[in-house]
Amino acid sequence: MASQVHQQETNMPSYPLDPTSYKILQKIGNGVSATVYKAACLPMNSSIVAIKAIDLERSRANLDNVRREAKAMTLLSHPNILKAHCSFTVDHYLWVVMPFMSAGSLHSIISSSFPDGLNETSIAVVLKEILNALLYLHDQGHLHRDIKAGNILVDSDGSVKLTDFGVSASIHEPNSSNSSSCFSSSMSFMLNELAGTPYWMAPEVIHSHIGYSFKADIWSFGITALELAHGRPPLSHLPPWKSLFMRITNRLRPCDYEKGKKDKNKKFSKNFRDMVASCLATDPLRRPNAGKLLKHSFFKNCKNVDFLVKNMLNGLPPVEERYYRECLNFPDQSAANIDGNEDDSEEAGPVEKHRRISGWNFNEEAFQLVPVFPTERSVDSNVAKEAGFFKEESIDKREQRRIMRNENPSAESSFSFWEGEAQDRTTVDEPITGATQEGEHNLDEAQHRTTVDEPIIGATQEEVTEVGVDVIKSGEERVAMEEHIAAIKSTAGEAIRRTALAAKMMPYLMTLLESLDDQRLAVANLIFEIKGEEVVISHQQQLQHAVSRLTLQLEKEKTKSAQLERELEVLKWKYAEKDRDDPSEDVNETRTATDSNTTNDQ
Amino acid sequence: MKGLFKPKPKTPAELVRQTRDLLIYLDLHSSSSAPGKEAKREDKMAELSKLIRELKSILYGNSESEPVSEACAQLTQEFFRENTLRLLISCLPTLSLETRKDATQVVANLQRQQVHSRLIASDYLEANKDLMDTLISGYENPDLALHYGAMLRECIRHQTIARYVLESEHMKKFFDYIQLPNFDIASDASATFKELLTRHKSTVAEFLTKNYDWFFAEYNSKLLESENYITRRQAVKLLGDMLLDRANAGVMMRYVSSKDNLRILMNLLRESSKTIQLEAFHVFKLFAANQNKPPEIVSILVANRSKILRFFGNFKIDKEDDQFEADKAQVIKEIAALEPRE
Repeated sequence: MASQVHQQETNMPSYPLDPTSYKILQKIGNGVSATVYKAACLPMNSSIVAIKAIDLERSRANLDNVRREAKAMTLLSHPNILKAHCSFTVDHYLWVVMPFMSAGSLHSIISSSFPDGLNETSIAVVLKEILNALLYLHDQGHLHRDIKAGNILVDSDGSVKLTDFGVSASIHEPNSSNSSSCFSSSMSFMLNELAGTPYWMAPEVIHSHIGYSFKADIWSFGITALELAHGRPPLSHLPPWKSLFMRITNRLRPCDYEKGKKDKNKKFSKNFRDMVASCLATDPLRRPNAGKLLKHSFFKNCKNVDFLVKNMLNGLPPVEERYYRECLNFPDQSAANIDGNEDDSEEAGPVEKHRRISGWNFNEEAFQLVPVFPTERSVDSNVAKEAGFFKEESIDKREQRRIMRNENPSAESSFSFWEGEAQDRTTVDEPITGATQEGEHNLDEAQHRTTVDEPIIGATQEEVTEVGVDVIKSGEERVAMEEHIAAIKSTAGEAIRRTALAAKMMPYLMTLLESLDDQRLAVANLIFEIKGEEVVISHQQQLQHAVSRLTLQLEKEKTKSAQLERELEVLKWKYAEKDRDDPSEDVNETRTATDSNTTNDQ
Repeated sequence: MKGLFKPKPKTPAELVRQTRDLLIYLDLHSSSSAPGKEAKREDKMAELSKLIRELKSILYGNSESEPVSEACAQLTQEFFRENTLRLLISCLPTLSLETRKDATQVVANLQRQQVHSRLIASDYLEANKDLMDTLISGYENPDLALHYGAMLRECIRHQTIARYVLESEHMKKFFDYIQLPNFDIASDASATFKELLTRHKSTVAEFLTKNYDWFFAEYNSKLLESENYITRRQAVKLLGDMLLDRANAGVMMRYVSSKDNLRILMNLLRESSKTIQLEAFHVFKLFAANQNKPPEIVSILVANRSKILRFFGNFKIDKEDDQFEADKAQVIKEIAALEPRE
């Protein structure tokens, strides 16, 4: 009671910093490492708050991110940004006490009541509010890095607030891991770290040589506009991770928004389409900044937030009910739902580098987004058909892997043309291991994959023709292959020379590969003798056992490959004498190539 | 004629002088609440906010232009020519949130500005070390803590200033600051604490050697044995960072020769938190790797040998980490080979 009186006396209520002062009422959202509750703050007349409980054990390496988020939520002060009341730790959870936004996130509003998207007037109101927030954020030197409907909260009075600074970055907050030089100027501020949620990520965030900056938020803003218009972001019919990979391996033309639903009654204004198109320019420099966007004619005569109350919030079930219903629909939600919720934090966000996208086509007419990949070739289906291609391809692949490694050492294991499970370290080896026990499994999977793919490819092709984007027909595999090599060449200036070199080195490398394969075969036979029939049980466990056994064998193998490497070097020196290329560069090259082989085996 | 409508842009030095004048005014009139003065004060406040923002954009540039080093140098020189920093720090509580943030960023940036290849901020601070006292005491005021804390962290980039703080009585206060209930402030304080104890290697080594007894007594009892999960987690991580630093080899040897320290680390190894376990392992391995283990350490390790070996047999981390596996194997080997001594 005493404290209550005290709170009322001072105008600035300060929220208590101990968990016993709060009564948890309901769970209203959850993500990978955080849960959001509706709660009552007992000493303050049981006023309603939202509490985001971040599991610090689950965001292990990233205590700094958590600190930055808490700091951002304390120091940023803008009507369109959700400010935290306070935060404190409760055992290994961080509780962030925030205002309760009773209508919940736009993601939740859309999925419960507007599955096909909002009307354009509402979209304009929401987007304008978010632009105000972005203008302020960018002016403060902050990048949000995770703009999406799930991070936009709405209150019963229609006010719209941006939330979740779990992966945000600031030019004033030096962070060794995220920026090239931490104390740079606002203009040259560049980030390299991959962060955000895949569907909303700008191409330069996924892959860029110089990094990315404030304009990456503008891209995500554009994707969010599409999300509000269609009910979901482009490409979202693919589940986030596997699919990200699917669209790579299976030369999907992921034209979005399947035909059935397609914009029957939806006609978007020229202004809207123009605005979104400008945000989705592939070149970040050609995207307008937040201030410029606010002046776009799309936002002229924009209604105020009362419009949202009448047209969007009216009749909306309460947020806790929506959450409950969602849980009923998807019982394993905590595991499955990595994007949608308002609170998913860094772990749902930062991702491994999977794939370079050479560009995006925004089809303004269809109001859709079409990525362009440098490779259009489905490898799976060809491995079986074109045995001759196999080695060439694997060299090619290593080449690409090596390029990836040069840019981002941590991403090396996640890159493979063969595998759907990019995160599964062990499977990366399969194509090379080829002859070992996994051979069977691999084949199975490949077959499985092709059967799965066919309908998708079929469907896509239809869609593609409809949208009128260039299609590469399956007959043109070889052309695609060439394109693929060309694409690799163009990725980095340095890479051009390397690729050319690699092409010259091909015969030598192939010899090397062959002998390595022979050795692996021997090892595989050995394992087979030891293990006998059991091999089939659990692929994962089995593999772990095998790997540990292999480690010993690998030692021997490494010595051998070192010998081979020396031989190769000799060969190359001879070769290089005939060639005017710098021989030392050459030597380093192959070394990395062979290294990459050995490391991947482990 | 044109000049009438568009005044010539002020030079960086002029901007600093104006800022200083306004700060002096505010400093004098901060407590007076005479009714007539109120409006005038508001005006001055608004003007000051604008000026500080301008200073910031000179130092950081903006979305259209890079900062000009000549302008930055002028600004820095004028700023430290007189007592602007002291005024700014003491007036900070009266500024609005946005202006406080701008001011903090200006001060942070100035610490790195070189004039004639000298960090003149360092010279200024050395003559005004008492400013550190003000900044550190900011951790006791929730409204100022994050601003003063950020400034403080920039100031201790200067080695002499870091030494001053390390050797001051304030060092003891950090053990409390990093356990404040307010997470923002506590984590800011621990960031500063960590910076103090890791940034300037030789200074840190000297400090730890001279202050070994009280420092590690406090460190063990207040931080490593804290009730608070996050305190323990950060403390054991920082302990590892300090002890594994080559500059602190002497301190490390002393630390790993104490059975009390060993006991604390063994308790941390048994925690339910994987993260704390792992960080504790990185310290524990030093006890095991020590080739001159005192008998009391040996006897503890021998007495607990089977338990420890069993523990490490099951001790795994999610990530694949060759270094970790190698360290673990080494620790197991060391402990398995121990012979009880007299």
